Amino acid sequence: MASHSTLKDHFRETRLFTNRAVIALLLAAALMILLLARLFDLQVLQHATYSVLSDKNRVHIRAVPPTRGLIYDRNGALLAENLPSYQLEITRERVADLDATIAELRQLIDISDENISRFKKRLERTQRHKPVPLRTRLSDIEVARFAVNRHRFPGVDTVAHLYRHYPFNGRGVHALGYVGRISEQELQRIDSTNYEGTEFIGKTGIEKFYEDLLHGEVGVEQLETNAQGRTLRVLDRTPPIPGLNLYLNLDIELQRIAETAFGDNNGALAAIDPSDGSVLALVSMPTFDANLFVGGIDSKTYRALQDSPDQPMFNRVLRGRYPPGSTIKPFVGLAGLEYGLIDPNVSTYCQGWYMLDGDERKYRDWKKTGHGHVDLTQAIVESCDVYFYDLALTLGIDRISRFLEPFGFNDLTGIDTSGELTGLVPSRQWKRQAKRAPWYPGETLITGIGQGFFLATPLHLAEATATLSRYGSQLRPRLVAATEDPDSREIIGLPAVPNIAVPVIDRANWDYIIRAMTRVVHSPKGTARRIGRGAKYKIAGKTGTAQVFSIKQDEKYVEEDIAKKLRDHALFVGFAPVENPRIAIAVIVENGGSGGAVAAPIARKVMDYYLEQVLVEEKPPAQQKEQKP
Amino acid sequence: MSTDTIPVLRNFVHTSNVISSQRHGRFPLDMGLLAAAVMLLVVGLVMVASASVSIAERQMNDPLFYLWRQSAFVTLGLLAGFAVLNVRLVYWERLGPWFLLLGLSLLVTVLFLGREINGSVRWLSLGPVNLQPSEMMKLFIVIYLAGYLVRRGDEVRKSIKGFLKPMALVGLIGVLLLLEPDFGAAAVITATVLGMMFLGGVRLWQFVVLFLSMSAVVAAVAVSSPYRVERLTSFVNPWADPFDSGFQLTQALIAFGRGEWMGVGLGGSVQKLFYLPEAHTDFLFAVLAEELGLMGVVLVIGLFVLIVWRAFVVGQSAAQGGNRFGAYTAYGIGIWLGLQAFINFGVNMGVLPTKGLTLPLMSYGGSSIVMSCVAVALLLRISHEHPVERQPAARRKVPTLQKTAAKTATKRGRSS
Repeated sequence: MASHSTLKDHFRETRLFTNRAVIALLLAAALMILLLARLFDLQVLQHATYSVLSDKNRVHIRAVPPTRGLIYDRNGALLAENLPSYQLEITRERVADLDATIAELRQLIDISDENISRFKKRLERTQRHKPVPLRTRLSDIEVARFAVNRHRFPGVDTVAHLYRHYPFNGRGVHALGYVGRISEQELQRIDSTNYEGTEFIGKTGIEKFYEDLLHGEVGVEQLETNAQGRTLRVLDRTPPIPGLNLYLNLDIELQRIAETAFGDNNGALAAIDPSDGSVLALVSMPTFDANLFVGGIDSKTYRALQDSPDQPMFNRVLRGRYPPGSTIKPFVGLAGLEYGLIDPNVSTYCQGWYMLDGDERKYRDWKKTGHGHVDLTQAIVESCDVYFYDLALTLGIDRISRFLEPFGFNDLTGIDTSGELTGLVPSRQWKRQAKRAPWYPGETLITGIGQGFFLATPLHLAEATATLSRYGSQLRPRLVAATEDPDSREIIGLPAVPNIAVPVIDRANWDYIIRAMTRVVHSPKGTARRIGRGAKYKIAGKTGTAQVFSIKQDEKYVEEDIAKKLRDHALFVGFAPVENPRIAIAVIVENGGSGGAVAAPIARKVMDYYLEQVLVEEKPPAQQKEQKP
Repeated sequence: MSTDTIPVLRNFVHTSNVISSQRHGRFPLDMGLLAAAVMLLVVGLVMVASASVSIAERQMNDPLFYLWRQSAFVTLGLLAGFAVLNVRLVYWERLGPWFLLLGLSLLVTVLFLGREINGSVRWLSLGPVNLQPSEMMKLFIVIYLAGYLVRRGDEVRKSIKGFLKPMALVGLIGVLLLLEPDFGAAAVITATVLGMMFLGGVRLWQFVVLFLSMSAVVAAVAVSSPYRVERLTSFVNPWADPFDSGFQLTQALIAFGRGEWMGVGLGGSVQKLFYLPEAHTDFLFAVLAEELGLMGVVLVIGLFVLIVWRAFVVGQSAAQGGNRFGAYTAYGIGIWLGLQAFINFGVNMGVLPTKGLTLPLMSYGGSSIVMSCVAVALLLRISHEHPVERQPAARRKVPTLQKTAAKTATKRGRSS
């Protein structure tokens, strides 16, 4: 029967329990005492305080959302503003029969089925005592019509709101971004108290990146209400702290010139002032109207944007990863010089193609007949591929990637807007990890002319060009120049942020490359000689073409026109004036064909406009740095 | 026959022995427990009626809307309780794992088919009523764990595995509840299970390790996203965050403050009219405090203390009767009801973060009322099978128990 040991176990278990029960009960008793103490405090000691508070309890508390900061361009042109409009709101708990109320409202005000379904969706995740908008942007007539009938609709009200408006519509939308209604995921992330009453949040671009500065801090209003909850008067108000205004480095007129210069072409352009890292223009063509997104875009329009073969919503300048093509040649040439592997005066013979030992493939030059004997300057001026095949082989992939990496292609540039992607300088290690394959010498060759795995966004190319013009020192590209407190009007400039500089071995090497790039524009054989004509300042540049096949990765890319699709992308990078660089530009025209004929003229137009202003300013040396507002 | 046979069978034998050796009336019950529960139900019904008059009038055009529904729930609860009273404990023990499975599957179902109210998906729509699986899970886990502690008692006490297995189960349930989200239920279930494990004799250092690691996680969250902590601790100063939960809490505190010693009188609450949302559910206690004052509040707290105390006494006598399943179940239910009531008090008084927990036996809500009635009925059933003995019997198996029983429960056992 019951063995001795189990009985003993049982015995021990019971004693264990007994001890623990005592501990538990003591704990419970302690908690009870705390609870009773708190009760006594609340109900007896603080009775008077709370009675007074309760008398004040005709008071309703309402959040007052702060006004979102405005965005100006460098000359003070308004890029993002807040316009007042009325919206129709319903507070669920004060409406007896919701459907009947909506049906009646529809006789006064135009309310679509989509409005109603969106309203119901929001109603589900809102507490019953908070108002939910049914229709936004009421017309004056609708507001008046409702005002007359207002007594019939308890719990319904028209409330003035500010909504975001972008006066330039689509211009610069890929830099500026836009705001939209706060989504479910964003709700999880944000401080819900501070966003109480706020309807919009930055979704992309500067609007997203500077959300914290632009938003401001919520205020509180204490309202005296009647039994129906209708406001009688405002008793107390802690005003909200409005968001900061932003002044951009971007010049909206320059942006217009750049965007117009693309004509019907798709493509991207980034223009940076190398002297301080200001981003002057950030273009991705085609654009789309940012205002469509503010009130919530309807699904049909959205689908049209999404499905357009031109991909207007694709941010080419920050997210388009293109092979840089021949625009990388000055950098590869510089590598050759800095590593001391080439004598710039020694020529290589170009017969129109190049072959590796033990490889039957012919690596062709763009010029079938060949360039003959070329030295480094000529190779850059005429964009000779064979010279750079040879140079790339001499350097080897390890040196090429080690030299190019500090220019930042593998990193984000750190520009102050959201959505930027990194580029890619291929290396042995990268290929082993990403492709699980060894590196082949043929790949070194095409890396030397910026093809193959090499990828860079237009912003990367502009930044690398600026770095070249600055002899290796790097500044983080900046869209925002200064913030302004809308109350005190105090303006605080945002300082330039240096990135780690590219190590320089011999400045003469950089001089050499820059001279060669100047000859690309200003010599009779230069591939960009067309834009050199009639320029009042010296430009250093490099053209390029990128083969289209590599675009198929990452972004989906649908092109209807097969003939055009086969054309190469046209590229141009350059900076000016050569002696005192004030603008560095990278342009890519998708399927544009020739860099010199299509991409470079766009850069010239942008340079002309900007440098005309800058050079005029700089002539009287007394008043220089005064272009910021 | 050896005691090492299947545990269920062993308990079965014990149980039938006890029943056959009853010396009490024809159907002995713990009268104190019954009285306390019935009083809470009655006070609860009155308070729900009082608290919901205004909101029912406003929303439903019928001031007694919630009273009728709540009365129906209470009736349902009493019927369910009566049924439970007639089921022998062994069946509960045997069905434990099935209850657990049922509870888990309901918790999963609710995530997919549940109704969303105020941002949480906690309810399964069943025609006119909504079922709240998290409420059912509370009882199911108590029943399952009681059986588990009987079956695996040694493992739980002696190996870390025995400690971790139930913890993993709690983790799973916790995740399912947090997905709804239902933080309150997750907290109550976790604490109840920990309490039962503690009483079941888990080694103390394991608790220490658990608490340390939990604090580490909390600290990590606090460092990585301070705003979460801010949100959680906003209850300390509700006036700093006057929207949402802060608003509710300020109104609840005002309700308490207005109550003073004797309250403003039944039906006299101002707060319930407009200012205190959910006055008939989670913040029922605040309305009670306003209308009945400190006296009413202390009475209600006293009744809950009585229930918890009787639950432990009943558990103790079941343990003496050798029915360990009954004992653990009683302790579990006691911890659950006591804890949930305590948290609800704490939230109402602004000493705990707002959780969305009902007051058992009192707050408006079908699942909550029915499940707490069933829980009390289960306690009564245990008291029926193991009546608390009036006099300290000489033939008690475990002498040390007397001392505790005396200390914790009554002053009667001193004589031994």
